[in-house]
Amino acid sequence: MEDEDIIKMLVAGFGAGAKGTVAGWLTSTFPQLKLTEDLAGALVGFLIWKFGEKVHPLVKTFGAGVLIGAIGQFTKSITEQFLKPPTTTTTTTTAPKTYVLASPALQAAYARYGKVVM
Amino acid sequence: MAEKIREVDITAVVTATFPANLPANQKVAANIQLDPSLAATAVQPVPSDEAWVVEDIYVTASQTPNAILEFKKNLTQVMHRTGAINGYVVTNPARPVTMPFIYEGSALITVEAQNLEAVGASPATITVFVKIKKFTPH
Repeated sequence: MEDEDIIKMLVAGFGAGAKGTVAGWLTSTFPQLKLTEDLAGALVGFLIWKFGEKVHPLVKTFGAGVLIGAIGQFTKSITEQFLKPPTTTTTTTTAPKTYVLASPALQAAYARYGKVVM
Repeated sequence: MAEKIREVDITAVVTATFPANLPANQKVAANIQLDPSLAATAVQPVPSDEAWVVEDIYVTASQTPNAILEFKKNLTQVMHRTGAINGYVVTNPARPVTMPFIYEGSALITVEAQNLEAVGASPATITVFVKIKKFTPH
């Protein structure tokens, strides 16, 4: 019995972790739905949770995990107000300066002449 | 989709007028005329979506006074400094080759001329031709 619980928990955790991937798949496959990733996660999670048992009981658990992940994302802003993460000072390293040849004309000139004085 | 770029060759006429009795090695601002139908200007801007490459500099005949031209970008950066311009006569098979240099979009082109000889009793104008390749979007 305990083994089953652990498997369920693992599958639910896997679902919560896969929420982003699943939601990303939905939003990219059906961009016309104009769903945010959180909402898409919640929708997919709910559907899998609701109808997944017909496929396999663990699919329902997976769906529950996805739903939990989505709810967690929804409530993140609320929980953050109560449980503020400690402020850490981060040292920002400046990336090496790169010159972007924004203009297509300039790129064409470079392509034509190679290294030239600029 | 990649933007198509057209290459257009033009020959600009650069003229510099040295005042009378000017001692040698003085700098004057030159005027740039891209086309006979356009007015000559001392400061020539490059359109923002184009890039201009100076490919060649030449004179068709010996100029008096002999001079040096200095091509600048944005009024400060020296892009190219010619040798004595009379060495650039187009019929001279040994005339110096100009290393191409680029003016990117929105850059300002100015040219300064420095006389290598003192100017006589009347003002003197030199005329130099500059071949420019314009990279311009269709």
